[in-house]
Amino acid sequence: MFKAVFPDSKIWKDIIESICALVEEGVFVANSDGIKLRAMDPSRIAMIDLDIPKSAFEYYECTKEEFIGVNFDDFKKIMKRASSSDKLELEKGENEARLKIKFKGKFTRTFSMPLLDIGKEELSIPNITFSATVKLLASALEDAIKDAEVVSDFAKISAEDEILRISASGDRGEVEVEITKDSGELLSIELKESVHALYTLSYLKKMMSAADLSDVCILMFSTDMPLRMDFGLLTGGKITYYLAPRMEAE
Amino acid sequence: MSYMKIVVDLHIHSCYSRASSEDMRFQNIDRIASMKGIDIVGTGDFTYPKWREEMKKLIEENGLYRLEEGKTRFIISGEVCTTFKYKGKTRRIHHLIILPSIEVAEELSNRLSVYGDLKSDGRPNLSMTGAQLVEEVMEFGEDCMVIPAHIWTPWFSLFGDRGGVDSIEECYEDQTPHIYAIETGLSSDPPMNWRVSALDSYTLVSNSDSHSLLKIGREANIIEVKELSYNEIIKTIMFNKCKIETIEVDPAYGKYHWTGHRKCGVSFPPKEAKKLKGICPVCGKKMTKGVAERVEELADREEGEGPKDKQNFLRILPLIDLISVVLKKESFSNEVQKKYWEIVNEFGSELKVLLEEPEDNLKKVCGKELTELIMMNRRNDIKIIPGYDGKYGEIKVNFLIRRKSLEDYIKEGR
Repeated sequence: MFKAVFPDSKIWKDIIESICALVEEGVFVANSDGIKLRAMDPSRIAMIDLDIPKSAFEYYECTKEEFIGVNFDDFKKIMKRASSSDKLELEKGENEARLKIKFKGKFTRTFSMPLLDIGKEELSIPNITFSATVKLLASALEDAIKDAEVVSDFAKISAEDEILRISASGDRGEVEVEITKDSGELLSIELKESVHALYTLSYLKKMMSAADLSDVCILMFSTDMPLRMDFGLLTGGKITYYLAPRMEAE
Repeated sequence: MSYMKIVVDLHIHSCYSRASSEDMRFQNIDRIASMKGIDIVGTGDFTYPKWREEMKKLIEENGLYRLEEGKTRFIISGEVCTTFKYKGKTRRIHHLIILPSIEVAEELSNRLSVYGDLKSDGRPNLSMTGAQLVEEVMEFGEDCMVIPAHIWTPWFSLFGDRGGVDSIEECYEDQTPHIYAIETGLSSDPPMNWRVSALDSYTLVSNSDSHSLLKIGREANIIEVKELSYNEIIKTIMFNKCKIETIEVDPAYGKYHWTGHRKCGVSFPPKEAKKLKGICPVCGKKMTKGVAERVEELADREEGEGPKDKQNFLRILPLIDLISVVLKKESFSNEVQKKYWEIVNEFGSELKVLLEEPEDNLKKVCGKELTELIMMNRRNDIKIIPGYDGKYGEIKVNFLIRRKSLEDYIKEGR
């Protein structure tokens, strides 16, 4: 038996959209501590690691570990029907193959979504020592990504001397965005060395869909190594993305 | 006496070879070789009388030749095709011949004219076995050399699927001890050749087999020699293979790397081609067996294995092809050639651009995108769609490939 009440259905809607940006299907693992989801995108380039502790919920009950296989597109469509003031209740009975999604507001609406019988994929997170940890406003990163998209399909992210630099170049031109502490957009930067790596903009853009959940994001990366991007949830919990780099010369 | 490194392309063709450019004349070859960073180029086509007449105008120095004002040294060379029957099948095999002088070239040509019409083509067809050819060449001294040419090419080569044989001895018989080197050809590289242990004792050489100016030096040899002389080069090839480093294109760039059928536009790596039993899945006709599959057939070592005394090699794609990718124009287009000359004139030689020039300097002349491609070329990061059935491999238009998936990083971190 699993039952959880989330105080703000809007947040849950954003969480589902953040997952949906990368994966179509996945398995929530619910246990007495909370809900987790770890899934890789179909091209095996990016990963999402979601962790929502029990404390993030207004009510939480999970008598035994439950695997809840979901089609996130379908889930997203249902979540679009939520009103901003609605509470959300998720419920799955033992041995039931459906998830009940209740919106409790002016009146109560109950959706029932069939669950997918997909095996839970055992995924580890990349075990990387990052040379750069940069905390910044998510909106600043989002803008920089949009700027880079104007000229290219990929961006070089580099960090040195307290400056986070996002640059891109292509047939359509070149762009360089510097994010510094002076503007207040860069909150902190810890560097073991100067670092740079290239990442695909379409993936970065998808990952920025979690910016609706948190004003601040933390970037961790090393030269030519995967990027980690963390978004803390206001309710408690965290969404972490990982993205493999593209080639250095790109 | 200390060693010096020279870049040598032993195998090209003159304007007198079939399908050769009209521009393949000494003045032009001298100029282009110098701009490419090639020190010594084979004359090619020594059997062709008119070309030999032009060779006679060159100035001789230590068994090498040059134009009066020229920088490039020429070494007497030519390619012939021998046609003979072996085990009931007709074999057509190309051989590169290297000679110490124009006089020897003249006399040997007289001898070879008995076996075929030398005036018909710069690369004549001779009705003789490989062994007979070597015997004829060796009559002129042990410093003459026969090198089986582009040994894996499906047509006209030692191990070619169509008209070749399965061992060096089957071609050269009792004359095999006079063979010291083999030419890898564009579609194979040293690691592929190392898989055949029977080739361990031979020096691997790489040459352009160029029929046009801009393709000279696309494959070549960096030879360490004590002096610039014919004897020094030949002795190094014969007895000192560790002093020879080859310049290779990616074998996938070659015209016959994978098995395929050009007419139907299909190509396959060795294992898949084997499953299809060499039959085109579109039209049912026999496909042209690629070098990769042929190597697999004769290999007695696994991929990645090889002899202890491996020669070094560089893998690099020609500058003109990189420019062509960036400008999205054919390599023979005026725009690409203009850019090529602009860059090479600025830096002095193509090899310098490809191998040595610092990135920041390149950016000023080549632009960012081409510079990035040149740097990728140095790191062998350019992806090639393999060539097949006479079609050159293509530099993948979306060359910005991702090295690894996230899964690879996860596995590495465990």
